[in-house]
Amino acid sequence: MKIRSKNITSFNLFELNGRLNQDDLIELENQINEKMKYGSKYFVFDISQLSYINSSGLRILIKTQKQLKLFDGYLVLVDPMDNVRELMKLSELEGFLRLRHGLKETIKEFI
Amino acid sequence: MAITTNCLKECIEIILKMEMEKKFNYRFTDDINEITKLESIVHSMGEEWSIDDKLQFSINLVLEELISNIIFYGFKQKNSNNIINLEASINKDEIVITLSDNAIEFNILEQEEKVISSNSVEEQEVGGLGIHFIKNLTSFIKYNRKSGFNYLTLSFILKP
Repeated sequence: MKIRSKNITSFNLFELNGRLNQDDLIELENQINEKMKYGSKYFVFDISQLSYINSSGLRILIKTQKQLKLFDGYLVLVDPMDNVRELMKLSELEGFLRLRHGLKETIKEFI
Repeated sequence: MAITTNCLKECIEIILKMEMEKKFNYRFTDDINEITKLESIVHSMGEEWSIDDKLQFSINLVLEELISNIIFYGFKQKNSNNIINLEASINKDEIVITLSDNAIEFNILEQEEKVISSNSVEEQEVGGLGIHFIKNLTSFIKYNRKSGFNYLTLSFILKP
């Protein structure tokens, strides 16, 4: 399973694994939209096992961050691998996408 | 005829270059699922040419952005005559990849590279990210249109 999501009281946790292909990205966007439809405002993405992302994947995360901000919510990305982190740096969006270190520590931010 | 030192040096360099130059070819169809093959293609290149993970990641990403763009927007209709060729070679300094396709004319060098940043992203539509990656992860790009084909040559510098 490349995309797993859980509802945890005050936030949604997504775990992204491996490489996300075109179908996976559609699935991810659908899952995000579904959660937002039911009023979720805070999303935690554990991307410690995400080995590859392309511009379409990043666009989904950026779009989600923008939508969540409209409702005073936000998403965070936890523990990106070096190559994925480099890509975020290259797109100058590290700050906007709120990178965090350590899942346990990050979760404390929401409870 | 006497062989000068310079000439001998040049000959040795050419022989060494020929020895080092290896080629890699692949033909893609216009099916987006072809993109999934890129991982193993680039991995094979990496194994064969001892390319580090970081460079493999960059090559993979640049090729995916380009090839998916050709498949999504380049062909007017799906057709078995639609061609996307990839040719890669390596020399001591760089990996050179040429993509040739018979899709509509598309010169990436003329495309706007939108610079986005944490400060401005909220006011902007997010576009041009793929082009930003392609232009920033390659060291050289050359484009030609000839006989109905786009030829895009990309260079990736090898670390010393």
